[in-house]
Amino acid sequence: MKKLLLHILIVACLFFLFDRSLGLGLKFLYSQSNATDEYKISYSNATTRDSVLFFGSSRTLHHYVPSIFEKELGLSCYNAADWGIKNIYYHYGQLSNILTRYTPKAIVFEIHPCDWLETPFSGKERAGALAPYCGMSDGCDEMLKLSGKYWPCLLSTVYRYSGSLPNLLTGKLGAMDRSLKGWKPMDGILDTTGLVAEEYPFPVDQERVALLERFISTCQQHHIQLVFVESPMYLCSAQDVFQFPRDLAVKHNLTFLDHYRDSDFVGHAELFYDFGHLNRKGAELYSRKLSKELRIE
Amino acid sequence: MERNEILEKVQDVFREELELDDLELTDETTADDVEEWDSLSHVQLVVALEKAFGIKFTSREILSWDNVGDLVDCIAKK
Amino acid sequence: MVVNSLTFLWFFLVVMAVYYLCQPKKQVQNIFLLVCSYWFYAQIDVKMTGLLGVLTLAFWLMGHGIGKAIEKEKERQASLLTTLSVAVGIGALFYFKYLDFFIGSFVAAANLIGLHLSWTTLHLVVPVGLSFFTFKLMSYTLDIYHGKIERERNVLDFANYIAFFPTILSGPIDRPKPFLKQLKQSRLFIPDNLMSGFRRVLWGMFMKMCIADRLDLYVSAVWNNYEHHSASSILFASLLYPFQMYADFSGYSEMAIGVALMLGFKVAENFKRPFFTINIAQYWSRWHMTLTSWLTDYVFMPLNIKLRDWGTNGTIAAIMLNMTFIGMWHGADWTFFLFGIYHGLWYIPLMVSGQFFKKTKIKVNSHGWPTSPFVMKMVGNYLVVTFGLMLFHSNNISEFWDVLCRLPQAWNGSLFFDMPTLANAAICSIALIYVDIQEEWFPKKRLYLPTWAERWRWELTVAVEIVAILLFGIFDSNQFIYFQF
Repeated sequence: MKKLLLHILIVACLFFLFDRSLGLGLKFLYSQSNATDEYKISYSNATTRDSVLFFGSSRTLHHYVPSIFEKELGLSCYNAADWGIKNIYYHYGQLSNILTRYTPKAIVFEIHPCDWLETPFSGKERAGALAPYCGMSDGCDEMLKLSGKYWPCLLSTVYRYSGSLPNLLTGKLGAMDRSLKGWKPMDGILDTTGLVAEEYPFPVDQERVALLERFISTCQQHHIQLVFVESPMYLCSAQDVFQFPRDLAVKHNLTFLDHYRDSDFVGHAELFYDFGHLNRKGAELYSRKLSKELRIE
Repeated sequence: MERNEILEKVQDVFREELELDDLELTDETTADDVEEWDSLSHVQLVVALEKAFGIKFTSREILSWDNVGDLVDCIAKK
Repeated sequence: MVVNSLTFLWFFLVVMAVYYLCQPKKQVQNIFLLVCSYWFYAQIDVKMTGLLGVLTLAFWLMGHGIGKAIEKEKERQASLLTTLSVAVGIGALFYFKYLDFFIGSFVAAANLIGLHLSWTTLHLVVPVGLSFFTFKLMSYTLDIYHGKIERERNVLDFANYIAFFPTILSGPIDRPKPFLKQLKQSRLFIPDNLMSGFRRVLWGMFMKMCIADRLDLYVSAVWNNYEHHSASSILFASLLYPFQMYADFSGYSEMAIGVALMLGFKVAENFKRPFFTINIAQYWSRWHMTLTSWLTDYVFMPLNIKLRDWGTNGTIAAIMLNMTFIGMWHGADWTFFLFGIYHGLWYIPLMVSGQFFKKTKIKVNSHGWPTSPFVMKMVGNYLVVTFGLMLFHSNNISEFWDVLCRLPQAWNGSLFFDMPTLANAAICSIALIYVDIQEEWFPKKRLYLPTWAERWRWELTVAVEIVAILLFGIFDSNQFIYFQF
């Protein structure tokens, strides 16, 4: 028995040694990588100091062109969104991390139904993307606990980068062009065959609603101007999908710039890459339009 | 036929079917001891034994043999 | 509760602690083990735990009857009881697994001839592990009948054999004799068993989580949306699928075998590097070995013996029936039936040429590597297996046909290549292939370690494996590949 315990102890020590040293190397590579996730998450959480940040998921990632907003607003801008149906669990954690470093002037938040509805395809697990930043802020750790990744991340630094090794090794060869300040343009045109509007027949998730409220009050406490936005879709639902954020904006005296049914874009296949995302041309057109409407005090 | 005569004849059949000229069989020999003797060659051996001794085994008898000794006993009974 | 989950880890740690505290009282150990096995099964399917118990008792009683009948030389009674036990086993399988399929197929066939039946399928939920434990139950009564074992007097020992939690869900399918023998001995706390067992569990986790689950992301992304993918993507995914299945099933078997070993039980091996084979007969002798040997002993052999007067034709018929059973064992659809037939057909040239009856060893060159002709044969055999698994993978015949028809049409499309997923899988697969090659052709060689580190080989290997699992493993079922089409 004693011998076995000694074996286990040696394994634990060796594991700690390998895990921490490899974890350090991975942490460094994570900050250097240009692969979409690795670059977006690391730059947004740990590096950006821009005045205006764009939050959201893939629709934000592909739709908001920082250079256009910078020209119009005269303020530095960064598109802090990431693909992968990121929701309020991720956004709240990211905000908490950013606030440990600096306070942005404004946050433009492209709100999505997965931020307040019980969507089965996007839930607590999305906060798992914050794994590399375990320990950075209370809010981030709280979200990691909800996603079930907090304790494994605490025990193992390698686990925080699980699945990322190929992207970390490719380093500068990744897909993201850093000069675009977080925007990822899509080149191509939508194939409209058989398309139907996206519907969201899901109940309201009180936990997500509470997190949204906390997100809003955190911005207010830090005097961050929060603006809700909604970019266009090729085909729109007949339901009033954005009733909830509209009411929320009214409740908290926020601006909500809703372009979901914008006729300049709806039905214009040449401006879309796929059913849910504008292409490069569409994104630039939309950014130009929105930048003129945005009022950042 | 005497039991050891049966064993010798069984050995001859095995040697011919499995192409192992110097195979030595005892009562305790099992399929695990002879590399070429597996579930497939087992049936070929059974057919050859039935031909050589002019007898017919039942399926139950065939499936009940654990070693060469059981096989020889079965032949001796017939 | 799956073996590679945190819940199972806690469960197992508690089980092991109490289990070894009970030593050397084997009766206490066995009772505790039985309680744990039933508790484990109840976590997965509480309703079917009753079925497990009922079938176990029924087969124990039938085994008792068969044993007594043989003692009293009542051949007919023994034969009837054995037939009854097989009928009950097959009946349970048929009812839960195949009834819906047969009803559905019958209704479809009736529709074809203009007869519209309004039967509804029973939508029966298949009890988890049913295919595995019914085979264990039947091998018990059949072995008693054929004089291979004595009837087990202790119903708890028999229940333990059937419900043994490491293997109840997905095998390996153990035979009663070696397992019951181990239950009669106390399982003492032997550190070597724990260490060896734990290594096997880790290796199984590596295979399953780092290779199988990772490859599944890509293969499913392509296969589940094949209408939107090019022929090259479909072919590539199909070529990856056998390897994915190997890593998945073999990985799970390794975990089961490792957990059993940590409890002091040696259970049967299930996989032996099945892609290092040059024909379909060799493949099946190394793939899911406990299923193959079960069907060989209880289906193929009796059939082959019955049809022995037909010569090679008899063996062919026995093989075709046996392989059909193997196909259908895997699932209730015509795809599985055809899968079995497909594999059976590949035996025919082997039997006609006489190769089937000879054991062909793979030739190696002076450096110990297999020679080129054999490597080519191994590649060819892998392709044969790949095509069969395309049938296996399809949800139904029309989907399989759809996929096949799509191949010539979609040549113009580009290969969908998700670099992170495939690169992760490739790194881990290289490790698996390296280990398999070393075990197959260079068993005496070990990975080099400096002399001073040699005494810590186990610790180093375990620590590296744990780090590898953390770095490459899939830990949640919410991962997906972003594929825009």
